[in-house]
Amino acid sequence: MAGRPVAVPDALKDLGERFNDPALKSSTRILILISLALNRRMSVVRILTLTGTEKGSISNHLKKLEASGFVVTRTSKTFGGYRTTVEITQKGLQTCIELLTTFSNFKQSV
Amino acid sequence: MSQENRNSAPPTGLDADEPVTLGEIKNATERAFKYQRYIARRTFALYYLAWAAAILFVVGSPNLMTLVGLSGALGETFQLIVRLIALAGAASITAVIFRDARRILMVRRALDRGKWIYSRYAGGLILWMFVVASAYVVVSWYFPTPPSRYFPGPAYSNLVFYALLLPIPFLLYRLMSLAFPDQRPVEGPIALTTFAVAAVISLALYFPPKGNSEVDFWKLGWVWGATALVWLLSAVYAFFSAQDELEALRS
Repeated sequence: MAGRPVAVPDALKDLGERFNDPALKSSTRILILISLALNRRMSVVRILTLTGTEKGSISNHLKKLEASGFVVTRTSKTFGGYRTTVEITQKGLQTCIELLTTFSNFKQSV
Repeated sequence: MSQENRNSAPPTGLDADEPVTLGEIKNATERAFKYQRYIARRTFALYYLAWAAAILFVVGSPNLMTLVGLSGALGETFQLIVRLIALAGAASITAVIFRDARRILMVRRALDRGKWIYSRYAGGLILWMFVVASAYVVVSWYFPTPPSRYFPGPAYSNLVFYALLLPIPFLLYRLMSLAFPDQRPVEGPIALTTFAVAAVISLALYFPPKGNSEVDFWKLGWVWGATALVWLLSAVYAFFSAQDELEALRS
């Protein structure tokens, strides 16, 4: 995935294109996406701990990520009640890797 | 939101939908890796616990056999099943560690640009475990201890087994440094060193090649019992330290 350093204008253009997706126009959603790329699957409770945001807000963020096809959410019945888990999709993983690679390229270029 | 505020704000909260800054990506990445460290320490706590239990079951299976009142072929089969279940459980936790390390490195590689060395160590460890298992089976088969043909006890197989265990801590140490690239948790090297020392002492107890009747099983039991205890303490320490890391992330 990681290649040779790219020129600054190219890196900037890449970065701009990546952020055109509405789902990536929030640092909270980027944080969720990176964490899911690291963990593959997380419960909503863990995502709440990670981000420190309120449940309603997280629900909104997850809906946007799901609408872009980056994550899928599943609710299952457990002994303690219902549990919602969020899993990153291949598209989400690919986007996250590309985003971080572009970010890394940009950091190295400047 | 001003550029300055956006850069200094943590990657949390009800941020508006607008292109994020590079500073925010950096913050989000750092926070995600800190959280990952918490998750990894919890997973490693489970890993130490599973291997402590596996060691205890492998070492203590003869006592367990006596406790349930089994003997002969039935007792040997019981021991074999207990050992296999314990080792399979520990191996499955190890597989989770491998899978997680692979994913972490895939993301890290995107940031660090090309430090892709996981497969060398993971592949090496898997290959080595395969060699250990194969050598154990082959040597057990060719140098059986009558009357059992299948169950451990032969003069050479244990010697080979402990000799082949020796490189495993070194490979695990490397994998641990990949799972915790910033700083290895203190309990990891302690647990692995104990394992290596136990393997060396066991090797010494079986050398020159001895049958089971000539080996001091009390010493062997103490060595591996102490190892299991250290791994158990490592599990407890890793679990509580993980909580501290989570609290630090919250604050």
